[in-house]
Amino acid sequence: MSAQLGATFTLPKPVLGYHPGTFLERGASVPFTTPQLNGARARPGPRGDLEFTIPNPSGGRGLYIVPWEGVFALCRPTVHDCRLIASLSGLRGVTPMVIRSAARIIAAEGLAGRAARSAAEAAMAIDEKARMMANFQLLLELVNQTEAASGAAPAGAAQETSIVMEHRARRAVAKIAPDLRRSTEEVAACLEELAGLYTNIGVGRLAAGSRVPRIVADVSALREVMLEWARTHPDDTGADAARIAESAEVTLTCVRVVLAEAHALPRDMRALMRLWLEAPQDLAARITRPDWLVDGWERIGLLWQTAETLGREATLAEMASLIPVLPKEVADWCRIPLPGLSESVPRRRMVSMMEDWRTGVTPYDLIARNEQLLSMAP
Amino acid sequence: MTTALTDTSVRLAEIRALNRHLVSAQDAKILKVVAMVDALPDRGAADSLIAPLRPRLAQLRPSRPLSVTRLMFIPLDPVVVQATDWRRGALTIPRTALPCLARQFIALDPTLSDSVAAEVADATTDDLGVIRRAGGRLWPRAASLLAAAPPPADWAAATSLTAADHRAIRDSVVLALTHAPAIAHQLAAERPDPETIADMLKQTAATPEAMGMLITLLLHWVPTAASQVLELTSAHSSPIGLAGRTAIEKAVEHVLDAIETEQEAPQTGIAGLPRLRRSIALLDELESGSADRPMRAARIAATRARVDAACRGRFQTLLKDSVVGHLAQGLPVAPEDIVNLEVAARDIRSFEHVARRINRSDHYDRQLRAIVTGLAPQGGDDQQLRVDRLRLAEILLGPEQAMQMLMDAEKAAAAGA
Repeated sequence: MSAQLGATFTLPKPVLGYHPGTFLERGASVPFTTPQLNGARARPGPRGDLEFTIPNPSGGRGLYIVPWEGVFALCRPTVHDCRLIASLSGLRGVTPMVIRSAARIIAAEGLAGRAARSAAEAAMAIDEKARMMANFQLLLELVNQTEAASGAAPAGAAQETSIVMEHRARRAVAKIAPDLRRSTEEVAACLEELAGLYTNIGVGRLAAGSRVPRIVADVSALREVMLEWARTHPDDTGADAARIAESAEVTLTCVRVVLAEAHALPRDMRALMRLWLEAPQDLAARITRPDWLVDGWERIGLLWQTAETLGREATLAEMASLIPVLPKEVADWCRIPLPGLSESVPRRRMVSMMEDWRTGVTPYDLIARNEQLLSMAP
Repeated sequence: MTTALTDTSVRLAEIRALNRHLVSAQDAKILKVVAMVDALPDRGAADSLIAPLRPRLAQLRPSRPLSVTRLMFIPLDPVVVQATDWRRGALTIPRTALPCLARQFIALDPTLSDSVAAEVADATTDDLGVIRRAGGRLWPRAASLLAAAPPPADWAAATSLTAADHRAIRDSVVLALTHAPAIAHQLAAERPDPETIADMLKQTAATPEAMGMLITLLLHWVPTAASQVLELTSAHSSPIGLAGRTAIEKAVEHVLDAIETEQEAPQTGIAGLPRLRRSIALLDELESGSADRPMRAARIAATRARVDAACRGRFQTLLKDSVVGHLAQGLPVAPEDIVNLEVAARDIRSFEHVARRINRSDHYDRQLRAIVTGLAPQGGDDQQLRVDRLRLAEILLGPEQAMQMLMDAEKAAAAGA
């Protein structure tokens, strides 16, 4: 299949000086296992179908922008990636969460190995639990806010029985439904939909354990490690580490702003639910901003944890080459002046490394490493 | 202190116990012994325990802690031999001379030695940046101090060599250390710089022996510079002249011998893959620079053929021992056994990926195609077994063939349903 598709597609020239205006234009990262597809992102194409942006595998400047069938003209994707491309090719909307969900379903088939399959299954279970937890937390917020005037004890206390809690929840939903001009069933459905949006960032006091806040903590720790490396290595690797630290710093600044905004919304449940009912796309865009901002950083952090495969020098070069570009839109999101980032200097990429007499690295090592990344992704 | 001595004695006893079967031991066991020796506060007699392992260590290339002594002599790696293999006039240096010269340097400049020791304290032989940086401070200073130094007081006792031997060995060491920073720079560069290479060679033009040693080091560390070295030294109009022509032929003979010896030695696994890749890069460069030298070209072709034969044999053994045998018994069920089988399959493909470049033959494809039947999903396979087979097929035969197998299996399942 792949060879036939590749034969019918003429590869365009790589695009130089690419700086996307929006996160959607930048695309969501796709966890491919084929080494030449490291750093690939999926985004809506001009005809509403899906296309990929793929960093120039030769190590040169620019990136390729190709429809899904164009991937086969660029490389020989693994079976896992063929399945993933086929699965993504039918998608219309692109968000990091949509790509992640599709990728987990494919990884759960086992074609990226048993460890990746187990990780995907575990991640799906964790996501489901996080969604339920977000739903519960939103309900608690609703109960506490609707009962605030009555001076009732805060909902969700350890000694509170589930029957009492359920009773208070029903009462809160019944109380807010007329205000929103919806039935109680529609209000309950609204809470469930909002819970889906909050799955990745969490709600209330348990938010810190959610996916995005966890990645923020990891990126923060990675930044410290990179700063230390840059301080002790006055060479190319130090320059790579400094760029990673610098980009991590800017990303962390931005993500903290949009995360705080999204976390603040449930403090007024009535307004939040009204927003969702009246302009769901606008609200979804606001709540998913943190997910877009950290998209791609998880892989960079995991690469550092698997640095023994390529050695630290080569891994730092790869990590630096994968730093997500921050689209111009981020300035509007954060309403804070953003510093100019150091210019990215292309260095040897993985493809040249696979052919380099200085290393023992082969494509098989890198595929195994990329499968390992899948097995480590929470 | 008593505790430290007891610890050391205990560890030495452990090492001796391990050492009994080491010559034929598994790679992991050898690496364990080396790590134990490296961890000893004072290596002393333990060094002699790992002496029989050196040929295997040359293949395995384990990451080892850096020290002033190890850092100082990294540039000499390709020419260091066991004392018993050393011959006067050869392009080699006996290993026994190195600790003696290192002690002498440390005594001559303890300040720099301490400073370098602190810099490399947490580094290993894999930390190329640290090696370049710390070596850049150490090598030139060691070269200048050793060049002017008499034989160390313990030279004869430690090496059983004469003062004349000291002079010859010291000159080679000084030469290597003098040019080490430039060679390290060329090693890190995308392409070697012809002017730097020419400059280095010109500096040794007056001494064919020195030039032979320098060319040997260059060919080893920067194989992609080989065609430039050949061009600079072989041409009759070359400013480097007759000395260069004599030196290059001797150095080429030396490196081809070394490649044959290394690649024809018994090897287990694929630990020697980086060395094989480097050797092939060198053979390619030497060949491209020898079109007008039929004798040398024939010699290179002969080495290429011998390496090719050794690699084919090694590949066949790997394939038979690691995969074919397992397939004959049916795929394992335990997850860790499947993971091990996949690792073995990847090792085989990694080896083939590098080895096929020697002669671009389809030998490897034919060998791999012969096992296709055992990899295709079969009627009675459950979902897990089918995926296991497809993954092995993907690793060993490629994604296109595995994808075809997957589609065939899905078609067959749909027809059955």
